[in-house]
Amino acid sequence: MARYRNLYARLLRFYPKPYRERFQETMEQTFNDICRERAAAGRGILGLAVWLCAETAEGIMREHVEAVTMRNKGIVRAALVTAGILLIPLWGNTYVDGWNWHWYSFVLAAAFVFSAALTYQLVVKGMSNKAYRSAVGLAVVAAFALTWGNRVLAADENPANLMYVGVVVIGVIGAAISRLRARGMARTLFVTAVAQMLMPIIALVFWKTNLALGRAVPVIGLNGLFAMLFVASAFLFHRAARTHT
Amino acid sequence: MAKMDSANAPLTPAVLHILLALSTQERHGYGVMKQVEADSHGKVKMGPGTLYGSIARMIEAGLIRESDKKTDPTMDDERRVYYKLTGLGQEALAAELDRYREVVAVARRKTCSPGTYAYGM
Repeated sequence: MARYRNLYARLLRFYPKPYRERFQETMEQTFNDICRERAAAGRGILGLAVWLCAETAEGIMREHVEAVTMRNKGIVRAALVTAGILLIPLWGNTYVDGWNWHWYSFVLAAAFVFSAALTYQLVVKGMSNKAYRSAVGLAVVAAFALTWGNRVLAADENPANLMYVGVVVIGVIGAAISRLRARGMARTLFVTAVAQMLMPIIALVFWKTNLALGRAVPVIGLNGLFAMLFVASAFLFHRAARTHT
Repeated sequence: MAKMDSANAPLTPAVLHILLALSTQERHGYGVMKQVEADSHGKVKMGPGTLYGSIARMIEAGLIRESDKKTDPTMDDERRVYYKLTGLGQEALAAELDRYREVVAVARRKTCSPGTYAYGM
C-alpha cells in the first residue's frame, strides 16, 4: 500500500502550487484512508488505486484550467465578447445580400472590439461601484463607436474625419492624468464632450470643409449624440465620485 | 473565486452532497466522502479530485470553512483537517432544498392532473 501512496503523492505534485500546498497532505491522508479500509475488508486495492489516480488526474486538469481562466479572466471575457459581436457580421455575410466583409475586415473588427472590451475589463478590475463601471462602459462604447465610425467607415470619404481621433486622444490623456479616479474622469469626459462638439465647427470654419447645409445638420446632430454619451458618462463618474467619498 | 453573490444561487450536485454531509456535524475529507456515499445509498461515489476541488471552491465562496486539525477517534491518531458549514452555507443548502421541494410538488401535481403523461409513467 505504501507503494500506491507514494505513487499518489507523486501524482499530486502536478496540481497548481497554491492548491497543492493547501490540500496535498489531506488528500494523501484521504487516499490512505480509502485504501486501508478496502484492504481491511480483505479486498484488492489495485483497481481502486487506478480509479483514484484517474479521478485525481481529471481533477488536476480541471484545477489547471480553472487557474488559467482565473488568471486571465479579463482576456477570456474580452475574447468571448469579441467572438459574440463578430457573429453579427458573420451572420450578415452568410444571409444578407450585399453584405460581403473580407477576412481582413473581420480581423480589424476583432482587434477593435477586443481592445475596447479588454480596456473595459482592465479599468473596472476590482471596482464594485456600479456607477463607475457604467461610466467606463459608456465611455468605452462611445469611443469605440466614434473611432470605428470615423477611422474605418468614413475616413476614406473625408480626411477631416481623422480629426475625431483627437477626441479619443483627449479622453485617453485625461484618463492617464486623472489616473482613472472618478472625479478626474468626470472632468475628462466633460472636456471630451466639448471637444466632440468643437470638431464639426473646426471642420466647417477653419478647415473650410465643403458641406452642404442638408448634410451639416445630421453631422452636427451625430456629434451631439456622441457628446451626450460622453456627458452621460461624465455624470456617472461624478456620481461614482460622490458615492465613493 | 469571489464570495457567492447570493445564498440562493443554484448548487452543483457535488456541492449539494457535501453541504448535506456537513449539515449534521463537522467532518474531515474522508468522513465527507463516506457520508455522501451513505446519504445517496451508494449511488454517488466522490473521489478525492472532485471532493477537494469542490471543497476549495466552497471555501472561496464562503459556504464552508476549515476548523482546527484534530484526530478522529474512530480512526488512527493522525490529525486531520475538519470542515464545517458557515451561515451562508446553511442558507444555500436551505434554499436548494426548497427548490427541490418545489420541483417535487410540481411533479406531484402534474402526475394527478389528467391528460399529462410526462410524470405519470
